[in-house]
Amino acid sequence: MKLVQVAGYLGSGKTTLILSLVKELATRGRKVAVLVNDVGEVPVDGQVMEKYGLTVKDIGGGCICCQVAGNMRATLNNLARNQKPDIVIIEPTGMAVPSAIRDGATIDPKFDSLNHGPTIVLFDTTRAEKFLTYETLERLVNTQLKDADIVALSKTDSASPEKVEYARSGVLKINPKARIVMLATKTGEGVPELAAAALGEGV
Amino acid sequence: MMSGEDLFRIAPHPAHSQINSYGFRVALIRPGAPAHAQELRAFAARILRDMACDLEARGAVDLAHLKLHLDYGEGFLFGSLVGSARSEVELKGKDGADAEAFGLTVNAVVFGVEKAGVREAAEGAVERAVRAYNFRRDDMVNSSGER
Repeated sequence: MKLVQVAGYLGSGKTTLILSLVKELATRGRKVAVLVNDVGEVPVDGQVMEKYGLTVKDIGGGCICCQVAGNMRATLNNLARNQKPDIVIIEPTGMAVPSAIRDGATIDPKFDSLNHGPTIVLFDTTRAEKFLTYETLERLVNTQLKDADIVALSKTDSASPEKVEYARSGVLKINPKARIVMLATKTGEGVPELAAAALGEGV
Repeated sequence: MMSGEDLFRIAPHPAHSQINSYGFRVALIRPGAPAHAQELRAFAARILRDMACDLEARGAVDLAHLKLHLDYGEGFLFGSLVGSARSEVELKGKDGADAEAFGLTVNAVVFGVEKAGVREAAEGAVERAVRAYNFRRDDMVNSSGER
């Protein structure tokens, strides 16, 4: 079972990307399950995905990178035992620390083995300035970016080219090793590339 | 006695400081005057815009994500506002038949406002919109399980 994280700060477009990504992976014949961890204890993201026909495991009650990490492990075991998906996409809360999730995600070897796919971190280009300059916010966003294998610069169709370039160079200063993907889910730009990365193609 | 789930709970990560959230579900009715999908879209947009303005007035640094879900029969609507009160309200979903009753879920996650302030802004925005559209609250449960 392969684990792919789609992380990133709140409102960066994680749910929207996952809706497109699951469709793309399904057309490539993969069985995908989605594990959603919403902030606020009254989940909305899981409801969105279910309305669009996805099978979703919702984890509430706190953040899976810390407060309810045990619930994530229990859910992964449950998926491995019952649904047996090829890929599990995890949508953590927008304030989660991706490396903490990666470290905490384990499954019982009697059900399956866990293969870590890429950690995709979304970065909202329309709010780039706020994320790269406001001290406390910058700290959390930096932590998330440093943990990324791939940084998807999101909402590039809503930001000016200058803003997108500002975001790209700012992100690369924080994580020079990250692969950058331009993402505009309204047009579909970037989705096939991220699906290929999730499958381990073209890495 | 602690439940199995409680045993898994540990302290929040330090990176989570200054982010507060509040969510609730409410059932709304307007007997004898069913709401059309277009009216529900306007209702949803008003809630998000009003909440955003209130939160900024309370000193929000970033409206991390204001979300709502409206569920009525075959129809549903998701609303989202991110960043600032000047941002676009995004609405998507599927129109259903006119409805006398519907469910509304609101979830607000904000950087830089205390939880009590997030709660007041979220509940206040819904209250004002409910009054403006002549809906009536049938039942409400918040994220702490309070009615």
